[in-house]
Amino acid sequence: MKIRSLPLNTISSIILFAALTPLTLRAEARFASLKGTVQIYQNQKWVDANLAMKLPTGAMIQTAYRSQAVVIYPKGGQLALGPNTRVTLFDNPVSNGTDREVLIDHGNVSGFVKKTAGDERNAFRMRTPTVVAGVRGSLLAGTLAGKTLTVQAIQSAAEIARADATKYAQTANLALAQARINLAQAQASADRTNSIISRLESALQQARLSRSPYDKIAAKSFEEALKTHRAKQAQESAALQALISQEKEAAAKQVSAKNYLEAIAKEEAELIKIAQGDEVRSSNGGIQGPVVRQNTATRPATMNSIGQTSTEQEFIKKNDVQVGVGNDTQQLYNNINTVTQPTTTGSPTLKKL
Amino acid sequence: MRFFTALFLVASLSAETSQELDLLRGIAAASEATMDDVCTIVAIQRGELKKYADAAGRCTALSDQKIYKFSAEDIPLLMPATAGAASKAAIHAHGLEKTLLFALTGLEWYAVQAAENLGLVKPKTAHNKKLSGAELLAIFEIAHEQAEAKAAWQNPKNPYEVFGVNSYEELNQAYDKMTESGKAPEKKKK
Repeated sequence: MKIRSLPLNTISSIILFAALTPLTLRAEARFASLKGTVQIYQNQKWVDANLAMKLPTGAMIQTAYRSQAVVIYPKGGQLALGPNTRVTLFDNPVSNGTDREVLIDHGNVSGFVKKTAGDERNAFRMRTPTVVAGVRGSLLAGTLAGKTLTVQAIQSAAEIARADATKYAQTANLALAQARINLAQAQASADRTNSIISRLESALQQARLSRSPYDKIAAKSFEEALKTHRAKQAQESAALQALISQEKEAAAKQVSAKNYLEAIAKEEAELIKIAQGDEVRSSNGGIQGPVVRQNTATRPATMNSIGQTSTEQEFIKKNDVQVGVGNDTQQLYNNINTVTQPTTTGSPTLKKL
Repeated sequence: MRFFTALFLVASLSAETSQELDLLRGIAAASEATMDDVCTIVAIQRGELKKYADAAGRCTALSDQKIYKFSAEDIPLLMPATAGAASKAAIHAHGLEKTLLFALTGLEWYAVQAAENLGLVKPKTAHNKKLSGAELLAIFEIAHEQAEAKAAWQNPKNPYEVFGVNSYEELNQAYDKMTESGKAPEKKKK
């Protein structure tokens, strides 16, 4: 009887809330710790992060230099974001376990994935526009500097592949991340243009007041630059509106997207194994395997002799010959040391000669 | 009174540091970076942003520290950042290895060759190539990473340190404690 007396809107709200509750709980990641400056992109603007904040799927986080953050999920694991890092977090709905993804824009991320009991599956992937690396139930660390992603399988085996960006660009997660990045970049660009214009205006004023001939020449340059930046300002403000609506559309599509896991399954079939403790690097030139990484990482320094041409350097790299005082002995020492003292962390034990 | 002073200090620190992120995002979005951006990046990476009130101060510091010399007539805000200038500034700022000819001449043409060797720029990059903000940031990020790796070369690396623990077992325990699940994973039967 009481239910009958409730308005129809209230009943539908209760049903909707009940239906959405499990999804909301699943996505409720939060910060476990914050150091320095960490910002999160919320409601189309950057705000300072705090420990009380919830991190829904699609959250974009940025840390400054000398800053770091740890993100904890109620189930399945946690992430550590290093200094000068920007990532977008995704939590894909799965019936059994968890499926999480981090899109790295730049910086370094470590992902701890809790080992599961029974048939549950906790999956974690880190992704750049051209590379995907994943792990299940262990620890994975990745660093993206420029366009080079270095991946370390720390606690168990991991997987990596150079993903064709166009193949998966249609997925709702990537579309949302891209729309969000585009909007944030357009906003940053508009702010930058405004700040440059105000600086140019004050510089122009000062140059006009000055009697120096240099300043008169400079004033002309300032005027020209002002014209260019004012035209840019008008273009940017027009483009910004379109990007805002694109981001809203992408967010709406991401909520209703369903077929993402099929694409992930196809992708997983193409992945290459990285053994525990190994490090792999992916750049424009392709994927550098653990042996190459080990060789470069255990050498004290790449020594380029005086007057060495790029052809000679390439030959030396390909033939694994390094010249220089102490290098050969150090390499031999490192090789023996790595074989005789395997470590669980994957980093070879180094000692200076 | 002390409380308000502390509150003010916290507020000013937060404003200072979010300025760092705003500046970095602005540079990343720029289609054409300027030498003014080079001054800003170096100041941020060296943790000296709050030392200098404005961009002019940052560029003067860059000249004083012999990272990149500006002449009196130079206007960094209107000077495009070239691959040569950025390479030179990045190598000097982070104390990276120089090739002999760059060390002797200090020319930007040789700076690009040194940067190629270090992997800061793509091979066969022209020294006068104008850089976008993202390209400029990439050069300085790689240089910063290499300098850090060089400094910590002999130090033992602990991959769990970022989570505030020393081992995988500790990480598992800390996570269980934080999530209050407290359950150890069951082993699968063969």
